[in-house]
Amino acid sequence: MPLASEVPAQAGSCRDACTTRRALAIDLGLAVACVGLGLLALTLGTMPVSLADAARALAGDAAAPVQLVVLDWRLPRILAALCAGSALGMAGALFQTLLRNPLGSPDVIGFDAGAFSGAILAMLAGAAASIVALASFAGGLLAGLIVYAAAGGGHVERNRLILIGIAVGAGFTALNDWLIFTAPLDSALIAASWKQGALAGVDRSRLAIGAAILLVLLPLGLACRRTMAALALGDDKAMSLGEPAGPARLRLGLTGLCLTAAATLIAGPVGFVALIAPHAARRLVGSAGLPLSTSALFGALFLLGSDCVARLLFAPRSLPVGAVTACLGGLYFVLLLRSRLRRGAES
Amino acid sequence: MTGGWRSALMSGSLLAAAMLASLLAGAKLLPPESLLDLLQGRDSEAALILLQLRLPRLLLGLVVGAALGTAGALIQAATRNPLGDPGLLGINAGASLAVIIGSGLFALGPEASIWLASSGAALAALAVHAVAGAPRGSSAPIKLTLAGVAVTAFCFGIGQAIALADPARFDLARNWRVGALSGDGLALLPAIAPPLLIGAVLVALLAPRLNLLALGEDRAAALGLSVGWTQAGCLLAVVLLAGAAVAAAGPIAFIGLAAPHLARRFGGVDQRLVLPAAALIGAALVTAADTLGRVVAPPAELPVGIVSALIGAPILVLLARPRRSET
Repeated sequence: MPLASEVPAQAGSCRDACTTRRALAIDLGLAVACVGLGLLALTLGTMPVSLADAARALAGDAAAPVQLVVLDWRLPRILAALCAGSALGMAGALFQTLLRNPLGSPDVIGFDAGAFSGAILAMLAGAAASIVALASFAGGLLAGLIVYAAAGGGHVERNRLILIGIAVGAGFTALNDWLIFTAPLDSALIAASWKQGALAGVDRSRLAIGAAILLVLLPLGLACRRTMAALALGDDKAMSLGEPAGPARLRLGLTGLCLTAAATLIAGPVGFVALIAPHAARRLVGSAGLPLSTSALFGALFLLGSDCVARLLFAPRSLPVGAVTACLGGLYFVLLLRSRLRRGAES
Repeated sequence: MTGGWRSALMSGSLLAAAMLASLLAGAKLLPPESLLDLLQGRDSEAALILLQLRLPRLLLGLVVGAALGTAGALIQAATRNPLGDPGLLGINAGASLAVIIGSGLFALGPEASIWLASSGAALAALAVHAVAGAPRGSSAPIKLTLAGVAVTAFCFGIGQAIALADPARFDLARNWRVGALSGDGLALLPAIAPPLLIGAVLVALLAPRLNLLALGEDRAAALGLSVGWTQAGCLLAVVLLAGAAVAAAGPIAFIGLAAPHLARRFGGVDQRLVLPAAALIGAALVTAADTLGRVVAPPAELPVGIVSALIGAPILVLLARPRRSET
């Protein structure tokens, strides 16, 4: 399709070139921040480890207890937060573009509730952690597919899709509440804390499976950039650019759904990352659409930072990471609101 | 006033049927004669069950349902949003969080938690309005609802973090969250009476004004209505009614959504009819959901909040689905 390849060229004015350069710089900055925070997180915790010791442990020649703490306890958790955060950030950008609504993130429209249903059922059946993770993966996909099927495919009007997502989420939430209500107290406690994030229980095999899935999905997600740009112009324009709206939406939706499911597999259903990351990324870059790579990197940084706060704020007691992302997310909205109000007062 | 008679007849008979079913059905099915026993003051086992167990529970259900139905009708009228429901819009979640904070962290009793619930509901309502950015036009209901879901997720996340810190607290929270009508409902009634009475007075004052508001904010203002005050009054009434309902029975969704829709179907769009009819229908729906929860799998009980969501969610999906002709 010659026209499709002309889209970036046509739009390649000076302002866009500046935005692209700025986006690259911001991506680089966020990536450096992720690595830096990751290294810092290796040293922080109930047992402080010096940066040099942490580096030695990574190289494989530190004392055995340090090796254990750094490599077996902290490193998988940090990597898991980075992986899940980036997947959630990108999924959020895809869904918000698809639904044309800044609040249309997968956790808000029913995905998390479905994932939680799968996980609770597996937990109550006494399954191992890896089965629980797989069950949550399946439950989330099931919720997404129910929404998709009930909406009658990709041609449905967005608002109806969102409403169906909310309704399906409410149904799954009722099921979850009831399961938690009837379960024995100790299993209910475990299940409820899983809902607030399962980063604490992450092990290497689960991380490896999740990371392998993301290795495929993240590039696929990045490849949706042009589709997103075409859809943003409206269905008719997208069609004339060689991106029929129906299949394009299906592609965005499925990629976003799989990304969210993979993140849930690694870290449990952590809310607000997919909601906040694309917002913040767009504000940082100053672009018209939602920047995918920046959203992913911001999501990774956000989740890692939240996990550090959850681990350290009331150490040795750790908070549920979902509560921290909810608090930080709420704070972000308040700040956003204040700047919006101030801008409203000026204009 | 034919619409009025029709509305009163329909919602009244719905309520009567639900009340009768609620009294007679349950873990033990009672014969209708037992109602006569009760009325004549005869001392039978059935009369004892009715008086001690079912009647208090029915009363609480009626009050909670009426409050939720009216709150939903007020939201739908004031924001001209057909999806208005204290559950979907995060108002119940705000009230829940306030109650969890009050009872969990500061060990406050039920009397205080009523007012806490109302303030939490008010904060949540304002937050939803702020996050949605005061939307107008045809997509406003969806924007408000999405903001409501986001606020609900926020409140739930914080509430869970507080509850999870202590197993006993968590046990209390999970029992309360499913929205159940407890047996000792009568003890709660005096505590929730003041906010409900204030709410009822406000509703009576607001009903004619809401009819003007239905013409659109600009026209209503041109006709001499102070739109801001009307909406503020509605907000106050909604948070009092929903806060009291949540404090008494936990967060119950979909009743406030369904009741006004049925009320309008029975008797047209005059708010002076819709609001009382929504109260009656809300009472009937909560009573019916509670009864259903008692009879599906005796002796176990499905809590009323779960029943209403498990029935309400599929219905909402069906209503939101595109019709054949549109696709």
